[in-house]
Amino acid sequence: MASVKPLSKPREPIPPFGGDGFSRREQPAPAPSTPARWGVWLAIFAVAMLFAGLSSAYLVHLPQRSRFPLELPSILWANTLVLILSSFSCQWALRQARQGRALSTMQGLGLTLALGVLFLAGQVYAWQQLRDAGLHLQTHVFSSFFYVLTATHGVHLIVGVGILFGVWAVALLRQGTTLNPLAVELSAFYWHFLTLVWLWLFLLLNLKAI
Amino acid sequence: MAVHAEHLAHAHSESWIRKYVFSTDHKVIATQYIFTAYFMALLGGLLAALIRYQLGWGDQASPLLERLFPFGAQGGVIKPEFYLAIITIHGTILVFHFQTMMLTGGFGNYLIPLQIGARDMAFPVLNMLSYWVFLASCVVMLLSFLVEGGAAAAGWTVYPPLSVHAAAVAGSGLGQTIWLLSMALLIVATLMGGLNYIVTTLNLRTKGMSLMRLPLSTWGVFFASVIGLVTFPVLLAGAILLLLDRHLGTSFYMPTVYIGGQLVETRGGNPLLWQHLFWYLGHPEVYILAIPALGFIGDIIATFSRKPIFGYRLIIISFVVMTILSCIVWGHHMFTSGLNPYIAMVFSLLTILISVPFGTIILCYAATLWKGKIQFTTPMLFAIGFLSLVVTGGLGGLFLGTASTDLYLHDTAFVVGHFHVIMASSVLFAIFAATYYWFPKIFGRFMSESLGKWHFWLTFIGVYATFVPMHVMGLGGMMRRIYSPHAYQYLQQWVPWERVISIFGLILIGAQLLFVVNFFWSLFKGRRATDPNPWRANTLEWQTSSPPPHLNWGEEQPVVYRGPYEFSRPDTAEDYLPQNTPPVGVEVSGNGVR
Amino acid sequence: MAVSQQQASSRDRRTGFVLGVALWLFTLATLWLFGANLHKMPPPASDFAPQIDAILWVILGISVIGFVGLHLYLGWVALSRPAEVRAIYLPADRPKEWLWVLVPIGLLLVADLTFDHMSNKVWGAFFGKPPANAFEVEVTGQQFAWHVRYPGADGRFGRTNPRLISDENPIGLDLSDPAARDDILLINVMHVPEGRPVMIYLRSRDVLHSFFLPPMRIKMDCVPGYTTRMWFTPQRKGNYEIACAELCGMGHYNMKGLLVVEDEQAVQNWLAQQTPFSKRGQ
Ligand code: HEM
Ligand SMILES: [Cu+2]
Ligand SMILES: [Cu+2]
Repeated sequence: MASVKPLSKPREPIPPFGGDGFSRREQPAPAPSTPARWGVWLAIFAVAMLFAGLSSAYLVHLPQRSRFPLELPSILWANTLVLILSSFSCQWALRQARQGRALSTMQGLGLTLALGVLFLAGQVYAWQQLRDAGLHLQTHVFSSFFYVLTATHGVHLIVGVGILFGVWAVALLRQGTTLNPLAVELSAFYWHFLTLVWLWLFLLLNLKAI
Repeated sequence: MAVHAEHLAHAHSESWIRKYVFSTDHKVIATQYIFTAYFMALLGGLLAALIRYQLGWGDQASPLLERLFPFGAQGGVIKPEFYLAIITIHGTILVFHFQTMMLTGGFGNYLIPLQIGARDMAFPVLNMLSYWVFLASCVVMLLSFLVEGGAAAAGWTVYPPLSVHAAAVAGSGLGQTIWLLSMALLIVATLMGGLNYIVTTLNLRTKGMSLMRLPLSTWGVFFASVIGLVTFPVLLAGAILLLLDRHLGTSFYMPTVYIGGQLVETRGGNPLLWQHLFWYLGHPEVYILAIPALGFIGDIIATFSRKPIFGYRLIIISFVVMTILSCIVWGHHMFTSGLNPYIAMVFSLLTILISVPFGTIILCYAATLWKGKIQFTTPMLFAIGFLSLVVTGGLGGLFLGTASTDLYLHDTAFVVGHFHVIMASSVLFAIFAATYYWFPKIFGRFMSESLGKWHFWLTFIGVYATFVPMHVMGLGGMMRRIYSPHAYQYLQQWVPWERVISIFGLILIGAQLLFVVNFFWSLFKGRRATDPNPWRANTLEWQTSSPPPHLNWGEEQPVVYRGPYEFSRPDTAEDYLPQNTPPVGVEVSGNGVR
Repeated sequence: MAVSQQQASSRDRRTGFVLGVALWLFTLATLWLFGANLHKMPPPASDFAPQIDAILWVILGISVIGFVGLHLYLGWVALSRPAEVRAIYLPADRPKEWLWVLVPIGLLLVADLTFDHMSNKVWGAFFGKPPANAFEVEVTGQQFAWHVRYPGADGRFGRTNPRLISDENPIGLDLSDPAARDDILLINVMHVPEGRPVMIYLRSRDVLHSFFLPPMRIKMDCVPGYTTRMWFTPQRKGNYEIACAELCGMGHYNMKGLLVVEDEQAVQNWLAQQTPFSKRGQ
């Protein structure tokens, strides 16, 4: 290792902590922020970009939308409501978790799970309605987009259900004694994100033209 | 994070499988990445040899070819479908499975934790998964040569409708599906990796390692991961739609067409949509390669000039600007596609403006060399070669970024020459420089310098002689992706050129044998790197043993006191000052500064 | 290290010497390669061609300056390794020194904006409103041929419909449209008048193609489902090859057409000899 011996006369004024130029002060150790939080946020960002890609594809095709009057099944409104409610219950669960109330957290999560599954069932019902109306994946670009957007969202929601169920089941196994608020927080964040994505997709699907 | 000696000892007693195959140690995973990516490079290089053979001597039958490829080269002449499959897979695996994965999964993975003083990645298991998914992607891609119709043949850009119907080109059968699946796996692998690199860089830096003290290598991989996270998912979206168009009869990209004697009736798909979705990744992809390459070269140039990098902050700013610009210029690949001409003008201007941050970085590196005490080791030779190539390639980009000259040069050999200089060659040089430079750290032995220098000279001559003449041919109107230049009268004058280029190209590919020999020979027989810091560098990876122990550091993680490039300070006896050497007058106690 | 400092440094000097010479030789060779062969470009034959070439020369000039400048410098660095014991120490945090970099980059920026401006003018002309008296032709790409259609005496192209495409009716011309009756349909050959703007409508019936006229310095993609267009004024009589520049399948390398530029009168005479598509086979 290099020894640090001052020579007689420095030719340059030397900043106290070397010449990297930016931090002349001693840098404090990085804050103990949670990598898990960053990881989940970035993963969500990547999923958001996936939906951004699909949405832009949809928007490119939007000028043709008027030529194909696709009537959205009205159950979608109910589904939307269910999903929004599930986000509320999820947030409530998170609040309970932060206050250390394991039991009500589990109740909140359970409710969220139930609403999530209800939403999925509603989506499948909407698919059936479309199919009965003779609108299949291949029928038109817009029916294609309807299935692709809802399916992609649905798959991510199934993952979300799986995650919430995992958190819930772990809490159950530990009999509500310990509960990791971070796990609840991150899964809640993902859940809210999926609600937002759905609201965005639902808005897109309801657009008739730009 | 103090790790008990007990724990360290325990780590060493893990089973062989856990330690070398399903390891979660970033160093092992990085090594797996490096070997796999180099293997893919070898295959890509062999495919390049076939391409060059066809373009140079395609009119002559060769019994050997028939022996090697009884289906692709019946009668000893490569068939056009086979040729298209070759260029497609060549381009794809060299860009994605070799260069991208080598820079981020390989060296990025290895260096980030070591350079920031961490013990491992933030998510070691995710890191391991990322490698295995990548390996699956490689295997799947290579299998596609075996299926009916052969591998994908619509070019690495897989433009529909060509890539949708098997009737359009043979490779658009099962081969194209496999291509898409392989790419989907690769996207997942890069995303898992990139997420890890970002989080690790942001969260696991050791005490004193401020962002403005990060070595440029780490910065490079960081920015590349950011770009990947922004753009790769969009390609995934595009790939999903393409798969649906191919297999489930949707028509996102497909207008009504008449292909192979059959009407394919659809309802108004848009083929340009794919081009947007593809190039939204495809262009930034070049920066996913260029920015880490620039980062590695920065470390190497500083070390072997014995000088602090010139304008460190300027370089970081330029990285940021490049990261942003890279994501908003994709339209320059579509100037002749019927894109709205006003939008094209904006894309053109933005593209040309990339020369500003890019030029800034190159000039900063050039200024770093000024009055340095330069040591012409093999990595340094490749680094200077890199500078030469990025200048040459970058200037070529001005011709293509300018919309009206691109009307002429688009899809000509000029493009092929350009991206082989700026992407294929310069990034290749960065990878070689990094390999020669970090080999003693990774494997504890040196690569042979004399073989390395020969490798450098042949490669340097090879890339110039192979790819610069392609620019001239492109100016002469030679199209790209053509199976043979013989069909056109006005291209006849370039036929001898193709042959000369092929000769140099084959020399270039052959010269890589020196590298392969050097690599494996050095792995087992190379001079031992007893000194952990043989290049007398400042960054942290050199301040631990070679190879570093499990969990990288002994009991204590290093503490950082300064930037990464404190070379030749007048107030130190040695001409370097590692980041973790405590300053005079700072007493060290325990794990930190008092 | 095993080797003595002395040895290492003399070896370094030798390597540096070779590298410097190589860099300068590469520079010369590259300049020569371009300089000696640019005359092999297809001779310009349209009004756009000299304009586009002019931009090419401007960029080429800027590139030569940048290329030669940087290589002179790199070669010089390699050749003249200072014998000092130590490199000079320039801490990286003095923005005043950045001017060494920022000034040349500023010049580059000015150059960038200059040729971007030149480019925009040509671009605007190419995509702007074509001249009113343009001679109109339509080209439909197919794997692997160009169908060339002239509107006939009425000056109007008849409707087409992909559902009507067959071996006999390669572009799906709808003969129930009166405008289609006199349309002339040819394959792989196109005659256009010298000195008069030519407007080409581009379409494709299967995959992407790109209609490329090297001596005119322009190309434009044929996108199925859409109509793109290009126009230019031929300035030199002669026979030229039409190339396909977008990968379109195994016959891509061979998708060749013939463009004949001749007198307006010659074109009209030639057209008069052609049978309209609707009367073929009668
Ligand atoms: C190491 C990195 C390399 C990368 C990343 C790379 C990348 C690519 C890409 C992306 C393409 C375009 C494929 C397509 O059109 O779909 C391509 C084509 C080609 N490459 Fe490479 N390449 C590399 C090395 C080489 C080498 C060493 C040679 C020759 C010695 C070579 C010769 C060619 C040729 C002749 C083509 C076909 C050009 C055409 O007709 O379009 N490449 N390469
Ligand atoms: Cu690009
Ligand atoms: Cu074609």
